[in-house]
Amino acid sequence: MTKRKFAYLKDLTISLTIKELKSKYTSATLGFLWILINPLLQMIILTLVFSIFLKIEVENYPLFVFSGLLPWMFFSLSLQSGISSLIANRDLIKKVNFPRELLPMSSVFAHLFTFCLVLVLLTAFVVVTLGPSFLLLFLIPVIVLETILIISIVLLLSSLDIYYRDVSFVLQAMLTVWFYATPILYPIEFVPEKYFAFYILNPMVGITTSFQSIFLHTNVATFTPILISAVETAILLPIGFFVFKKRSKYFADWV
Amino acid sequence: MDAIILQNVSKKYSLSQYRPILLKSLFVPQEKEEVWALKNVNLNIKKGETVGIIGENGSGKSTLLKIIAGITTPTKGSVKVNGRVGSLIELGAGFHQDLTGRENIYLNGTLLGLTKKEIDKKYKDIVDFADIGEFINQPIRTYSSGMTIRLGFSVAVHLDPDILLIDEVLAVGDEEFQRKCIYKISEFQKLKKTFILVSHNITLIENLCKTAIWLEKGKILKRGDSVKVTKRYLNSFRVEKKILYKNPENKIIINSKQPKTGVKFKEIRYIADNANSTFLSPNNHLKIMIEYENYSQIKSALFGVAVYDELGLHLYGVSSPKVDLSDGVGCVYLVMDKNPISNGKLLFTFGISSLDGHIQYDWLEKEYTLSFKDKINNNFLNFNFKWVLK
Repeated sequence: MTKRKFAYLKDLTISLTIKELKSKYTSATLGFLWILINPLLQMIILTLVFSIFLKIEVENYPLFVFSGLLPWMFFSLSLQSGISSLIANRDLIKKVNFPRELLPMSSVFAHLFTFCLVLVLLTAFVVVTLGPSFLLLFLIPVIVLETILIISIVLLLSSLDIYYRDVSFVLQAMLTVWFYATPILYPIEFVPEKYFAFYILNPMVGITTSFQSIFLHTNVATFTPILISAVETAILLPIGFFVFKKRSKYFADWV
Repeated sequence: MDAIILQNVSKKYSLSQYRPILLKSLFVPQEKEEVWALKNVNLNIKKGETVGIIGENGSGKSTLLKIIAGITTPTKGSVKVNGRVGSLIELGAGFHQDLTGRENIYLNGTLLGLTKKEIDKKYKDIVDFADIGEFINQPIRTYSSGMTIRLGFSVAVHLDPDILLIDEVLAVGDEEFQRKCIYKISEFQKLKKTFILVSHNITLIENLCKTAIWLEKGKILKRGDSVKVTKRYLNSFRVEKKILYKNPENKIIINSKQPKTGVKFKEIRYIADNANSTFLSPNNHLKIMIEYENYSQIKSALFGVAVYDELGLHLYGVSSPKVDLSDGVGCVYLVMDKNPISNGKLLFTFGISSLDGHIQYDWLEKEYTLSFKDKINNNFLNFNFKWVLK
C-alpha cells in the first residue's frame, strides 16, 4: 500500500465517521449530551431494579453494572447501526466507487468515539473514588480487541444484510439473548459450573469481565475468557473481510 | 497506450422486487428473473480519446459506465482501467443535508478519491467555482437545488482525474450552469484527457467527442467517427417514421392592437409540405414561417430562435444572417430537415434584433409551441436549423 493510498483511506474513514457523528447529534437539541444521557439512564434503571428489587449481593453494584454495561452498549449499538450502514448509505454505494468496508467500519468508529467519551468520565470517577491504578492501562488493549471483534461481526453481517432483508431482525433477537448470556447484571462467579465451558465461548464474556475487574480492582481470573475472545476474533476477522470483499463487488446491484 | 480495456464484459442483473429473506433462502431455492445488461463487450479506449456513448434507454449505457467507474463488477470478462477515474455520474452523491457546505466538500472529495491535504489545496478553487458565497458554512439543507448541484459539480471537476465519466449530468441545472459544464468539459478535451460522455444530446456528442459508440441491447453495434455513427444512429429512427401533428397551437398571430412602431412579428406558423395533412411523412421538412412588419426606418435586422424543452431548459439557439427589412412586410423561414425530437413538446423563443445584437426590436419569450409524437420512443435531440430568407 502506497503512502498516498494509506492517507486516503485514513482521511475517508475520518470523513465518514464525522458524518456519522454529526448527522446523529447535530440536529438534536441537546446534541452530544445524548451520548451521556442514554447510558446513564439505562445504568440508573438497571441498578435500581437489581439492587433494590432483586437485591443482588455484589460490592459497589452501580459501578459494577456500569463497567459491564458500557462495553455492552458499544457492542450492541455499533452492531445494530453497523449492520444496516450499507442500506443506510445506498445512494453512495450506487453512485460512487470507494472501499465499501469503510461504511460499516466508520459506523463502528463513530460508536467507539462516543464510547471513549463516556469511558473517560467513568475512569475519572473511578480514579477519584477508588484511587489511581496502573490496571486502568489495560483498558486500551481490551477496547482494541472489542473494536476488532465488532468490526469482524459487522463486516460479515452487513454484507448479508444488504441482500437479505431479515438479517437485522435476526440480529435484534440474538442481541436480546446475548445480553443475558454475558456477565453484565451478574458477576461471572454466578454462572453454574456445569454450563461454564459453554458459557465462556461467548466472546463478550472476556470483554465485560475485563472491564469489571479493571474498574473494581477485583481479582477475577479474566485471562482465560479474554484469550478465548482474542482467538475467536482472530478467526472471525479474516472470515468477515473475505466474505465482505467477495460480496462487495455486487453491492451496487443489490441496493 | 490504452486507458480502458474491456474484454468480453457481460453483466447480468437479477430482477426482484424485494430483498430476499435469509431464513427462507436457507431452505427454499430462489427463483430469479435475470436480464443481461451487457453482452460480450470488447472495448479499448486510448489515452486522450473522447468517446460518446449513444443508444436507446436500456441499451446498457449506464451499466457500461458503472463498470468502468468500478461501482459494479461485470459478471463475466475483465476490466482494466489505467489512471484515476472521476465520475460525473451523480453530482453531490454523498452530500449530507445536516453538514455544512465546507464539511460536505471534504466528505464528497474524500469519497471521490482525494486525501484531505489535496482538498485543502483545492478548497478555495472549489468554493470560488461553486459560487455560493456565505452559504459555505451553512448546512446543505438550506441550499437551493441549484446551489447543491453547483457545489457537487465543482467538487467533481476539481478532482483532476485522468479519465472523466459523464452521464447525462448536463441535463440538470440552469442554462448558465450547463454552459459552465460544457466549458469545463472542453477544457478537459484541450488537456488531452480521456473522457466518456453518455448523452441523448446528439449535437453535444458530435461536438465534444471524436469517437462514438452505439450500444444496442447490451452490445456495441457501431463504433467510429462520432459524426458518422450518430448519423447512422439517427437514420435508424427515420425508417417508417410517422409524425403526427395534432396541436392547434402551432400558430400564433400577434395581437393587432399593438402600437404600430418599430419592427414587429406579425405571424408565426408551422407549414407542412402538404397543408391538409396532419401527418408529416418521414422525408418532410419541418418549416416555420415567420412574418414580420416594419413600421420604422430600420433597414436590416437579425432574426433569432431559441429552443427549450418542456421544462424550459435551453436546448439550442441560432440566429439568422442579415435580413433586409426595406420592403416593410415580409417573412423568413426556419427549416429543419429532421425533427428535433421524436416525442414531446418544444418551446420556441423568437427575437428580432439589431445587427450588433444590442437592440431587441421584438421578442416572443417561449410563446410558440410544437408537439411531436412518434411511434418510436427515443429521446435524441437533433438541431439542424436553417434560415431561408425570401
